[in-house]
Amino acid sequence: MVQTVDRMDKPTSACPPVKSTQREGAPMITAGPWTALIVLIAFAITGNGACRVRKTDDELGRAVKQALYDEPAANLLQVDVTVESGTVYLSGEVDLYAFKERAGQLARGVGGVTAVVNKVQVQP
Amino acid sequence: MALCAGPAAAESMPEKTEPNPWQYGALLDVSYGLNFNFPENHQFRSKQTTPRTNEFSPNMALGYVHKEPHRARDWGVELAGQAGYDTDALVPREQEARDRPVPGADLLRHLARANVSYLAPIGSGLLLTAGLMKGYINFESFYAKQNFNYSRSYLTDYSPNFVFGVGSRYAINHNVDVGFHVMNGFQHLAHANDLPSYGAELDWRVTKRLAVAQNLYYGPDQADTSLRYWRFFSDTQVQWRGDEVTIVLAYDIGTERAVDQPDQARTFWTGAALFTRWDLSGPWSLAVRPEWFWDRNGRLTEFEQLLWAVTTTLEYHRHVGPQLWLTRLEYRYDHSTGQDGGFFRDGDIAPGVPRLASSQHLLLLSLIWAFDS
Repeated sequence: MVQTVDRMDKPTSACPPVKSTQREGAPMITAGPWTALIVLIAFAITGNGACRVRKTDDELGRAVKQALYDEPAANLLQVDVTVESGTVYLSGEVDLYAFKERAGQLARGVGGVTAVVNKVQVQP
Repeated sequence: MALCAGPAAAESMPEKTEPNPWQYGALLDVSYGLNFNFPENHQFRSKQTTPRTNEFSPNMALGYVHKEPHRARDWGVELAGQAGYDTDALVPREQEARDRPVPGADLLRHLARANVSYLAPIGSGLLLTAGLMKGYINFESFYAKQNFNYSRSYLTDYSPNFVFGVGSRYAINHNVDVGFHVMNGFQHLAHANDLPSYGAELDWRVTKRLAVAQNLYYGPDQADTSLRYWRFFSDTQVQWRGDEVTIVLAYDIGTERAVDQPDQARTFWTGAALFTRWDLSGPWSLAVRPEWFWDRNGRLTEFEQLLWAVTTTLEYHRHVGPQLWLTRLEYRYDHSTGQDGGFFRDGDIAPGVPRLASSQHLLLLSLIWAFDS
């Protein structure tokens, strides 16, 4: 059973730095924990920009499965997907080595995936 | 609550490096099955895999080394050894005019894979394989680790899980691939004659989430190799994959005229199974498999019977580095009717003649450990 492991650095934050809208000379407003919480909730609800709340393993699993099973250019229906702490484990069988590589590429392309362990086997 | 990279950042994940073509690994599979019939011989009647109950059962230990052909003109090799109760039934019983074990079968059952392959530069790549390889027929694997449930279905037990011969596989396009095989027979460790048997397969992804597979076997499996005694076997599968639920319906049918019967009567067996799995949450999943198997003439199970069963399995899995731990709790109900049907139960009706019951309740706890390099 062939296994390949692809890792990416764990994302710290992809949020762009927030520009200050404070006018010079205006009284300083201290951003307390409530403000931070409200901002985070707003991002979570709106999904604004590229910065989203981190997906759970279940959500990642569904996203990876959708990417694989809906892929028109490769039959990946025999590929099983499990996710643990952001790491995607692919197993099962495909007909071509190119399909195995494609499965790994699609899994890596899902936002929030931190690593892909590709144990998919090309059936003889 | 942590913030994460969006899709654009994920796409910037570095491209993987070329993997080591050589891989190796191991598998250990143990279980304890509480059979509420409490048979004194500890046997699960008419079952090939997980054949022992009411005792600690090391069902499978496997070690392998493997190289896949990655591109045209590349070659591959598979070598694997296995041991455990699940391998016991691979050695066929000596039967007049039918199967007899190949010389050294008791040792050869420990060989799981021994093949070489070559990816010929034809079209998308024609994969040619020769030697002892995985069977091309079943949806389930011979190895519990790769299945929804722990115990295997009757369909899996009574279909070729191993093939000894030469095979070819070709992907016509992204959705259709075909295969053709020439092998020594239905059971790879049986030797009924010197003629080869033939197999064909078709896998077709009908829609994005729906696939159909058709597998065929045709060949002589008796001492008399006349065409009228050849065995025909068909396996049909329909699979649908959702994001959380997978459903597979498999139907098998087989027939051959029996040389050893006075009137060379046509024998017949058929069965179906519905494999379902629901990924509950995180490492938990639930699988339910109703099935039936009718061995009208006792050709495969050795008993004329209609079997049906329902198997429910709760699974928990966890990866630890390159290791995978799987534990499954399974409840299985089996029922058998027919002239020779039944399951072993406690006590004998006469010396050496075990008592039978028409049904069997089995509670299985299994642990599977796997390591892949």
